[in-house]
Order: sequence, then structure tokens, then C-alpha cells
Amino acid sequence: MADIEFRVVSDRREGLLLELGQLVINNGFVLTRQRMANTDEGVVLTMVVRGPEQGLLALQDRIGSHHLVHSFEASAAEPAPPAAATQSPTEPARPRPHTERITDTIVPVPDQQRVEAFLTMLARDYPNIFSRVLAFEHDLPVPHRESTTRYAGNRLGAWIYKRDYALGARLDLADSIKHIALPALRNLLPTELDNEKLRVRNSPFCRSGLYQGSSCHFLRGCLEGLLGEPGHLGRPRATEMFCRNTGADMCTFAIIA
Amino acid sequence: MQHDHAVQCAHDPMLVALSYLISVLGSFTALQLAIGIPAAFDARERWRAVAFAGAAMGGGAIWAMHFIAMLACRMEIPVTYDIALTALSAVIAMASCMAGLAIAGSGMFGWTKLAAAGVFMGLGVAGMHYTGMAAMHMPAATHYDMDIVAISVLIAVVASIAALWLAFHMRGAAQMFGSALVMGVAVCGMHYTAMSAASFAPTGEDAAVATAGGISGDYLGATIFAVTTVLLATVLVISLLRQQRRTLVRI
Repeated sequence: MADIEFRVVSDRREGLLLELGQLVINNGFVLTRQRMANTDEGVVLTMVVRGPEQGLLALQDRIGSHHLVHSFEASAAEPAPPAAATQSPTEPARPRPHTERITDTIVPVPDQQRVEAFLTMLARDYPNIFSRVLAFEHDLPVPHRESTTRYAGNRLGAWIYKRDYALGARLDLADSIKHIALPALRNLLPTELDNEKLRVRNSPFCRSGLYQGSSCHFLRGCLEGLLGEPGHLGRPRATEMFCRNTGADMCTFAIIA
Repeated sequence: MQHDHAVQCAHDPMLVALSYLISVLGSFTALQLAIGIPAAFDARERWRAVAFAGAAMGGGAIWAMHFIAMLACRMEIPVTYDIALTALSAVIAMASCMAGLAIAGSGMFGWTKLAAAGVFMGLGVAGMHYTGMAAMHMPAATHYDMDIVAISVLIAVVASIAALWLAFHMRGAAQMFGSALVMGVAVCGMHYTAMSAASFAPTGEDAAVATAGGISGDYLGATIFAVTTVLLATVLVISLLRQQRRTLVRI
């Protein structure tokens, strides 16, 4: 079991604790402490959660992709001080243990070597990549499947951008979606643009039996890589609003910068 | 406005077509260099891209096109060209294009920026043309219909804006080829509209005296050939380098 402290920054206070708390519980963790404060950054919610280590990456991924979360950091939590403990004014303050700060990035699976080998094959097979991606996704351990697939998509998207779309002016989000994300995705799958949302037909990730809900994590990562690689849009996040895996006609993605 | 006994300028269609081709070639070279400006690693790389792109546009697309078109203009009187003004016309074209491309390639894409860049480029096209016309030594005086002159400048500015929009805002084939074709229209459209604004009234001056001190069209032809060769070589090098860079991008 691991105690992890999340420091979440959001633009909105209302409903933040309720939604993230529910997300923590749904991922098999327990919320042991929390505090919320208004700061110059925005609303900062600090949560200490306890749960299985193997579920940590998935939880980070879900928190990072939540629409209320602007950014977050995760670190090993300090144990809570005993209720009756007091500190003498003459005693030096106990130093904080060194923690690894994990910011809002897609954290790859520990077997990085395997992922790198997969990515190299992906670049070689591009744009005919899906059979290899599906096989890779299928072979991943369940706790790492979603985050690792999304990470791989992110790397591919960034690579596509550097190869094919890096020359030209820096475009705002709407134009980047129209002139970069849309043609890049069309190179992989039939895709339409509908009011700044991308709608994909026949995503191969649907109905694979691997997920209960939305299943196109690779495509989400790909979009984030395509739009995030230039750097001037910050860290755009792709959310899958509708997925064929849950009964929709097409898989629909929205991008938030 | 046509003057009585004005010297007629009959355009050779082959050279007119060639003039459009050279403007497209120069524009393609320039804009392919220019779209690398936003991605420049540092200020030095950025200004190098601006300089080369501006030189290709001003010297290749605009200046070379103008003088091919002037060679295409067959007049009954001899014409030579003042060296200093001819060189100045090239400098005007290159400097204006460098300014325009530097603006278009900076920061985030925006309509105000695009308009400013298009104005610089369009004025570069027009400025080069009218300076090049002023460089003509001939036994005739040039008169302009100012309404048509204004239209010619407007054509240059509007088409330049369109070309820059295609080059910087789009990606893919529209970016690569569409922008060059439209910029070719800007340059040629401006030139041939401006030529229709001009009429040449014979002054009765001795032709040898009137053309003294200028260089003949034959020398210009050799210069244009050299410029064209450099443009073609640059295009080839850019294509090879970009292809190589593309294959070296690591995932």
C-alpha cells in the first residue's frame, strides 16, 4: 500500500473535492486527508490517498485528464503527525524527506525499454500501425494499460508533428486542430471535424473487450502529442466525450489547452 | 491614358509565360525558406532564414520576373537600363520582402500581422517595379495612369496577403504549392497591370544619346539566367535537406 499526496491546481472550487474524491474511490484508493486553499495559481486541493501501488499510474492518469484539473503534482506523503504531538520551539523543524515530484505528464510504464522498442517499430510501420498497437495494448498489464497506451500515442503524435507539420506559423488551438490534428488523424482513420471536436469512425480500439468505458486512449495521446509538441499551446488535453465502445456512433474527442 | 504616337509594347507570350514561371519558382524557394522562420532554433538562425527568404523572393520572384517581362515587352525603340537604379530596385524588393517575411514568421499567426506583412511584400513588389521602370533609358518618356497604378499596388498587396496566409497558416500541398502559385499571381498581376498603366511618348531624342550609360537587355538576360540557376539549385538543396531531416526525426 502507498500513501501519495496529490497537489491539484484548478480554476474551480465548486465540486472539485467531490469529483476528485469520487475518482479516488472509484480507482480503489482511500482519501485520508485533504485541504483546499485559494492561491495565486488558482484553487489548490491537496489530497493524501492510500491504495495499491499498481493502481497509482492509472489514478494519476485519470486525475491528470479530469476536466477540472489544470495541473497536478504527486509525491510520497508524509505520515500525519499524532494528534497530541507538540513541537518545542527550541527543536529544529523536522526536514521534509526528499520526494520525487511527478507533474502533469503521462508517466510511462516501468518497462521503458519495451515501450521504446515498440515505438521504433511503430515509426517504421507508420501509418499502418493499428495491428501492432492493439497487440501491444493487449499484452500490457491491466494497471498500466491505459496510461502506457496513451503515452505511446503521445510519443507518436509528437513525432508526426515534428516530421510533417513543424514548418509554418504557430497556430492557435482551433487552427491547430483544423490544420494539424485533423489531417494527421485522417492519415490514420476516417475523421471529421465538428465544431472543434474530432470525430473518428471505426476506431479499432473499440469493442476490443479491454475496457468497460472509453477505449481510445492511444488516439487521445496522439492528439495530445500532435498539439502539445509545438509548445505554445501549453499541455493540451484530449478527452473522449463519446466512444463507440459505450454505444456511440463515432468516437468524439475534445481538446482543451 | 494613351498618348498620341505612343510607343507600343507588344508582349512575347512565351516570355510572359516564362516570367510567371520564374515568379512561381522564386516564390516557392522563398516561402519554403520562410516557413522555417517560426521554427528557428535561435535568433541567428531566424535572421538567416529571413535574409535568404527575402533575397529569394525579392531577387528571384520579383526582380528576375520583372526583367524577363521587360524583355518580353517588344518596343520599336532601343532600351537600356541604368545600373544603379536596377541594383536599387533589387535592394528595395529584397528589403521589403525580408521585412514582410520577418513579420509573418514571428510569434503566433494573426490577421493584423498577416496584413502588415502583406503590405510590406506588396509594396516591395510595386516599389521594385516602378524603380525598375525608372531605370529605363530610351528616347521616350513614361506616363502613368495613376488609377491603374493604384490598382496594381492593390493587386500586389492583396495577393501577397493571400500567399502569406497559405504559406504560414496552411500545411501540406496547399502550403507548398498554393502559396507559390498565388504569389506568382501577385508579382505578375502587379507587373502587367502596371504596364497597362504606362504609356511611352517618343521624345524625339537621338537613340544613342538616350540609351547611353545603360546596360542592354542581353546582359540582363545573363543575370536572370544566373539567378534562375541559383533558385533551382536552392530548391533542390532545400528539398533534399528537408527529406533527410524528415527521415532522421526520432520518435
